[in-house]
Amino acid sequence: MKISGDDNMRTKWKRWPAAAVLAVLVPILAGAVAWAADLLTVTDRETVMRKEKKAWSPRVGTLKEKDKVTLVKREEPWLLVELQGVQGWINQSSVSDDPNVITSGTDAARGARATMASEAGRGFNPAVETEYRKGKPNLEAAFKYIDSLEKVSYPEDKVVSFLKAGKLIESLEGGAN
Amino acid sequence: MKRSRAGLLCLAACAVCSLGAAAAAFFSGCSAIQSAAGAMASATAGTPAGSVFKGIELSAESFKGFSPSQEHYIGRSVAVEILSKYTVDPDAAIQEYVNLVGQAVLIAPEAGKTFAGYHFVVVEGDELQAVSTPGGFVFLTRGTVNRAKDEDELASVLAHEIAHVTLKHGMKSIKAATRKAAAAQLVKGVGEVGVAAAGSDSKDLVELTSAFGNTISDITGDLLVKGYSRETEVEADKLAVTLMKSSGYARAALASYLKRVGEEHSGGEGGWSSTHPKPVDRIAQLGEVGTGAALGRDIRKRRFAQVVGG
Repeated sequence: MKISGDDNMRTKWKRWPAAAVLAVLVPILAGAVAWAADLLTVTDRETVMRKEKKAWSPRVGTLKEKDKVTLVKREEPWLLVELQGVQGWINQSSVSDDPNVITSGTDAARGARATMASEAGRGFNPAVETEYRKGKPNLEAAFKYIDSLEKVSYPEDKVVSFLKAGKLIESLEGGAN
Repeated sequence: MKRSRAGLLCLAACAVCSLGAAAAAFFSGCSAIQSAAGAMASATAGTPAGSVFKGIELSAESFKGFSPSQEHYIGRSVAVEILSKYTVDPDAAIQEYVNLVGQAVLIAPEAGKTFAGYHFVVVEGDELQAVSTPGGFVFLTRGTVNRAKDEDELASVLAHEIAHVTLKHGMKSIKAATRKAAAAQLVKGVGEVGVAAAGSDSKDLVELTSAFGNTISDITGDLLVKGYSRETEVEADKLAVTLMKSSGYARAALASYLKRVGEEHSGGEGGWSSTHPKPVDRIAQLGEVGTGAALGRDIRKRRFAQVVGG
């Protein structure tokens, strides 16, 4: 089929809106995908954002599981991330770039039957453990010990004092080994 | 004209998809593509297009394995199985000291973080035994602590166990059949949370709990009975000396500890000897990386002696 000059002009003119849509959509979509790739989900129950890439560097913030942070810079195994305007360094093993990563769901202490249905669809979690425990009454004391063990924490200042008293930071910064 | 417009739209769609995928691959590799597929599946749920994206997402899910929180719940139950065979040492001072040494090793950035941190437990017993579960529960007998001549050697034992956790050796003990059964349930769960929440959860929960039980059994079997392969132990040793270096401890401490326990266990069978390769082979595999001094070892030796004795 032959198209006359006018028809050709008209066709070209009609293509403009489609081209305009493309011009707008492509950067937006590419940007959205890039943004999604730079958005990370915290997978630890809690993780500390630090001022510098050192485990004993001062804390600038605390992240909780499921927090969504923006990746600013990657210097493996450290990542500089940002949440609500606060930037800090975290270990890369504390986050996932999978937005659908399975998180813990409800706290073990809540473990009520009412939450079981929705929790059952989300992997090995407190609801599944509760069900497993029911069949192992002989292990209940050990489970209780593990519960109490998880409540024990070693404050950061105590760990740093231990490092300093044992000359470990000095050993690292002195370049020995 | 209609055909021409349809062609143009089709071209536009292809261009958008290609550019989107290219951007995803450029910025973050395949996981970003999975993420994008997941996001698109959510956005198109209930549509034919949605089921296509859901298919991509579910296939990826079955491949990805377990998340840190799931590893944690697996680890808790494996830890319970181990605890059921031992008694926790009542010496609070030694529990705190071993935990502080463990936390010191964990300043190494190469140490994999776990969902709820690491917990170190000294249990009673003179035999040589140290094990770690997914999620970071580490158990060692008092005899294992007592065999160390100083803090750096104790740190080397803990570093080896942290290395097993970081390298997910426990998770790799899960047999293919168990992993497949668990994956089937987990994948099903990802897509059917809504259905389960409506009240038909019991069958799914029973099946998921069964898969969970088999997972615990697979890992416990490897940890306490079969032991890891020689290659796995050597891999953990190599990461352990890296952790030692990055936390300020002497790398040579692992080899000296192995040498001592190797002399003690030469020709012996059962227990640690049956679940670990010969120390002499492990030391040989470490080679030069297993050597190296560190500042302050004498100071640490003194505080070790104050708590542990010797």
